[in-house]
Amino acid sequence: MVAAPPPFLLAAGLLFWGWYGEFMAAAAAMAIALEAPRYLRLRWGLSARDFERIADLCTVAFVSALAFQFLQSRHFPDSLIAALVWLPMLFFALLLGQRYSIAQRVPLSALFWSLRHRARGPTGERRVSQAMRLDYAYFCLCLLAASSANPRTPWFFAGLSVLGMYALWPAAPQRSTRRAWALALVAAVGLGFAAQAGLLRAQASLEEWVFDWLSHRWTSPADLYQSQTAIGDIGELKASDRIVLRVGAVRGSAPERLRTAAYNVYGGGTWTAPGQVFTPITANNQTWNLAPGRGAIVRLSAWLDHQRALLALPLGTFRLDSLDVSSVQHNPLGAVRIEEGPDMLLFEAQFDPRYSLDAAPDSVDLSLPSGARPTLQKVADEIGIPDRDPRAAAQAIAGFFDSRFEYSLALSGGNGMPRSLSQFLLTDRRGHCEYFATATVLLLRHAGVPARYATGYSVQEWSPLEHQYVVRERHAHAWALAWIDQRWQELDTTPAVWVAEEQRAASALQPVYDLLSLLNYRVALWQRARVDASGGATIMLWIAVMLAMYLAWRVWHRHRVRVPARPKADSVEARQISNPSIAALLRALTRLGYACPPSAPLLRWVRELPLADSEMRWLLEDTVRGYYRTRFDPLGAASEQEQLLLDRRVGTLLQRLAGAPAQRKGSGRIR
Amino acid sequence: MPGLLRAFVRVYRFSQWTRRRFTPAGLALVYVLTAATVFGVDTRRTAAYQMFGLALGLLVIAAVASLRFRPKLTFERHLPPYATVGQAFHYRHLVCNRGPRRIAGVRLRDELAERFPNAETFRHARAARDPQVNWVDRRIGFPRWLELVRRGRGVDIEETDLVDLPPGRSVEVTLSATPLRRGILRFERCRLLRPDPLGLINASTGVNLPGELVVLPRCHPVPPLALPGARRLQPGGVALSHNVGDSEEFIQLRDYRPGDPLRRIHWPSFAKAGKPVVKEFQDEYFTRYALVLDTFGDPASDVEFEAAVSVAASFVAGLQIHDALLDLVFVEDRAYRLTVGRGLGRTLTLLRELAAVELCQGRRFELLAAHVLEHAQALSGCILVLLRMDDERRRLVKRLRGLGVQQLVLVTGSERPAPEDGVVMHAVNPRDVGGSLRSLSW
Repeated sequence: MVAAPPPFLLAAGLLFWGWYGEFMAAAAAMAIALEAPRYLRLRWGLSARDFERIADLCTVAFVSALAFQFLQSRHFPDSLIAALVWLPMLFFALLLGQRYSIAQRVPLSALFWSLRHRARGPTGERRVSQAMRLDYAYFCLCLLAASSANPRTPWFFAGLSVLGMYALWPAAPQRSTRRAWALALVAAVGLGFAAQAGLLRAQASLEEWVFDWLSHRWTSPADLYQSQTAIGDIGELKASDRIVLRVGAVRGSAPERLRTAAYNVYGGGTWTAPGQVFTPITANNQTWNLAPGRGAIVRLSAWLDHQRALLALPLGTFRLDSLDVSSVQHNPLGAVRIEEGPDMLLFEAQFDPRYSLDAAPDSVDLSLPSGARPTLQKVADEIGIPDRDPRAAAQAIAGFFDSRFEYSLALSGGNGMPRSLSQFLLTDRRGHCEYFATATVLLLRHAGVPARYATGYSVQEWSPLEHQYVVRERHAHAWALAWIDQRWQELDTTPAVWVAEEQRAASALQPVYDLLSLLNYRVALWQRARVDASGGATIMLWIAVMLAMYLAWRVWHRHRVRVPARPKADSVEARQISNPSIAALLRALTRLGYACPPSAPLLRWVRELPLADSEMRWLLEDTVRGYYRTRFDPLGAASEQEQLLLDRRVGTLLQRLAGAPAQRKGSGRIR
Repeated sequence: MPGLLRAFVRVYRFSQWTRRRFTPAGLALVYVLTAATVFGVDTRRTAAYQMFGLALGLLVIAAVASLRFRPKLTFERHLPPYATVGQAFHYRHLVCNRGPRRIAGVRLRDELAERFPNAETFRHARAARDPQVNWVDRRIGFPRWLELVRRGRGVDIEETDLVDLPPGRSVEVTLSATPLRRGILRFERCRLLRPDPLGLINASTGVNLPGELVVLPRCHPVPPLALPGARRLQPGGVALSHNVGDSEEFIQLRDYRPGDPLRRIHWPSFAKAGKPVVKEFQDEYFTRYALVLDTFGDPASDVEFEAAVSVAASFVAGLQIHDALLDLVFVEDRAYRLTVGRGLGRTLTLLRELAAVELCQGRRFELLAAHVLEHAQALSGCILVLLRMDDERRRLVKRLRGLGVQQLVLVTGSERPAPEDGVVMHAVNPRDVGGSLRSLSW
C-alpha cells in the first residue's frame, strides 16, 4: 500500500531521535538492525497472527510506559509527552518484524483490532487481509519522539527540514524538474520556519493576554500575576480541610508562619502590590541561592496545582535546596514564584527571620487610604499609640486587639455587604485574620511605622502520624509585617483562639481524608525515591531489552528462510538470455533505469513499462513476441527468418532508445 | 436517521475530496500535521510545533502550486455494450490536448454517479451482512452504508497514469474495472489530476461526460438437463407464442419426434430419407418451458434475490432447450412474459431484462402465481426460481403439479425446502450459485 522509503531514511530518523532524545547508543543499534536486511538474506515467514502478537506486545509496552510515566508525574499530558519520547523503542519490534519478514508488509489486522474479526472467516479460517509498510509511519514517529524531547535549538528545525526533504523525494512527480522541486521546497521550509517561530510568539502573547484577562475577573490570595487580594478571599478558604503543605524541621525549629505573598498598597478593601517585577534566580543543581548565609532548615512538601505557583516560605528564606523546577523568581516584596515542576514539590528551605530579603520600606509602606484616616485616628487615640517607638507601637496595637476584639469567621456586615474596616474597628470589633492584619498594618502606618500586609499559612497542627506539621487550606492566614529595628518582623494580632475556632468547624471525615492524603504523599515519595535511585530511563531500557529478547526468542523459532541473492540490476546474464539481440536490448533498457527483474515474464514486464510512446510500446511487445517465436517455435525453418526480423526490430529500438532520457530513481517514463 | 444519513454523506464527500485532492504523501503529511497539532499545542513542552510549522509550510506551498491548472482538453469514452457482474471489462478513453503546452504527469479519474441509500434501504440492509463486523461498526452502520454506496455506484475504477499529452495530440488509455452489481452503470464525469511539484496536492480539472453501461447478471454453467414434459398444443404456433403472426400454414419438414401424430408424417420424405419426417405447421404442438423468477421479497432478502436473478440468467444463457420455447416470467411493476427459442427473441434481450429486474414490493405473490397458471396449459415444464418456500409458493407448486406441468424448483433462501411429491426441489446456496447449479439434475 505504501511505497518503500528511500535508502537509510529510517536509520537517519532513528539517529535524529537518538541525538535529541539522548539515546544515541540505542538508536544506533536500532538503526543498524533495521538497515541490516539490505545486506542480509535471512528472512522469517511471519504470519498475520505473529504480527498481531508483536503489535499487542508493543501496545502493552506503550501502555506500561504510559502508566509508569503517569505514576511518576501524576499528570496525564505530561506522562503522555514523556512516553512519546520512547515511542521508537516501544514500536521497534513491529518494524523489525516487517523488515525481516518475507512479505515486507504488516497486515492491517495487527494494527486495528476491529479488522481481526474480519480477518477470520465464518468457520474461523484466516482471510488474507490488506497489508502495508510501516516505514514512513515509523519515521514520523521518530520525528515526533525527537520533538517530545523538547530540543530548544534551531538545528532541530534544520534537521527536520533535511529529513523531510529526503523523505519526500520519492513523492516528487516525474514531471517536475529538480529546480521546481527545490524551489518549492525552499519556499515551504522558509514558510515553515516562519510559522513555527510565529507559533512560539503567538503562544507567549496569548498567555499574557489570558493572564491579564483573568486577572481582571478573578483573583486568589496568592495571585501575584495580578498582585492583589481582597478582604474575604482567605475567609473562603477557611472551609477546606485539605492538606496543602507538610512542614518538617531539619535544623532548628519550624516556622510559625509560611508567607506566600506580601502587599503594600491598600484601597477599597483590596491589597495590591503594583509594579513589583519578578527577578529570576540562577540554579546550581536544584539549589537556588537567594543570598548567602546559614540558618534553620525546614523541609517542605507541597502539591503543585499549576505550572506556575508561589511558594509558601518562612520569612527570611535565603536558600532553596532540592527544588526540581525549571525556574525560580522573586520580587522585592519577598514573593517567590516557580515554574514547571512535578506535581509534588519536596524541598528544603534555609531561613533566618532576622535577615529578611524583602526590600527596605519606602513611602508606599507608610501610605494610608484617605477615607480611613478619621477611623484610624479615633482608634489610635483610644489605644494611645506611643510616637517614635515602633516596637512599643506594635506592642500597644497587639494588646489592643488581644483585649478588645473577638475572632469571628463572619464575612458579611449583616446587610449582605462586606464588612467595612471602620465597622470592624469601631462597631463590631470582631472579624477574622484579614481584618486584624489590615487594621494592624494601617494602624502601624498611622503611627509612622512602615508596614506590609502578608498572606500565607499558619503552621500549627502537629501530626503524630507523620511526625511533622501539616498545613491545611483552612490554615490560610494573613498578618502584618512591621519595619522594626531595621528589619521586617511579623506581627500577628489575630486572637490565638482562631485555631480552636476553626478546628471545631472541621469535618467529621477529616481523619479519613488525612489518611488518604498521607497515602498519596507516601506513594509520591516512593516514586521520587525510585526515580532518584535508578532513573526512569534505565527501567524503560530494561523493559525494552526484555521485550526484545522475548521477541527474538519467539521469532528465531519461526520459519526461517534464506532469500536468493538479488542479481545486480544490469546483469542481463541473470536471465540467461542466449539471444544476443534481446540481451543487447535489455542492457540498453537497464542502462536507462528499466531493469527487468529476473523472475518477471518478459512480455508482461514490457507491457507494464511506463511508456508514453505507444509506438515504442508496440515495437517492444512485438519484438518480445518475435523473440518468443524464435525460442519456442518448433519449426526450425521459420526461426531463421524470425531471427532476421528480430535483429532488425531490435536495431530500430536501440536507435530510438539511444535518444531517450535516462529514468530518474523511483518511477519514470520513456518519452 | 435522516440526520445520521446526512452526516454519512458529508463524511463520505469529505473523504472523497481528500482522496482526490491529496496524494498519498500529502495525506500522510496531513496526518503528521494533525499529530503535531495535538502534541505541539503547548510550544513550551515539546518541539512538535516545529513539525507543525514544516508540515504546514509544505502543504501551503503545495496548495498554492496546485491552484493554476486549466488545460484545454477533450475526452471521449468508449464503453463496451455490455459487461457482466464479477467479470472485468475494459474500455478506452481518448484524451486530446487542445492547448499549446505539453501536459505531463497527470492521472485520469473516471467518476460514476453516486446513489446514496435512503433511510428505508439503510434500515433494511442486513445489519449482520458480515457477522465479523465489530459491534461499533454494526451499531453506527457506517461501513454498511459505505457498502451500499459502493454497490449503488456499481464499480470501482482506479486512477490511471496518462503520462504525457503533447499539444494537439490525443492519447488513448485503456481502463479496466469489475462491476459489483448488475444494472446500469452511470458514468458521470472525467477528471484529470496533476500533483504539484512536491507531489503532495493534486490540481484537478474535469468535464461532465455522461455514459451508461449495462451490466448483465452473472451467469454460471448449467449442466445439461434432461428436460421433461410432453409437447403441448400452442394455439397460434410459434409466431403467436410471442403474440405475433396469424396464419396456420405449413412451415417446414423436420425429423419425427416421439409423440408426433402419425398423420403429420410426410411419407415421400420418409421414403427418401429412410427415417420418419413430419410436416410442421404454424399452429402446432411443441415443447415450451417457463422460467419463473420470484421477485417478491423484502429488502433484507437482497442476497437471495441476486442469487435468484443469477440462477435465472444462467438458465437463460446456458440451458439447452433445442427447438423448444422458454418463457421468462416475472412481476415487477406488472407481469412480464418474455419468450426466446425457435427464432424468437434473443437471449441477450432476456439478460438485459434480468439486469434491470428489481424486487417487487407492496404486491402479493398471487399476482405471479395467477400469471403462471393462466398460461400453464401450454407449458411442458416449469423452472421456478423462488426466494423461499412458504404456503403461497407451495400452493403454486401443487396447482402446477395438478395441471400436469413438470417442475424444477430452485429455492435460494437459506432454509432447505421440504420435499414435495412429484416435484424436483433444489436448494441454491446464495453465496455459491455456481456450485449449486453444478450439482443440478432434473
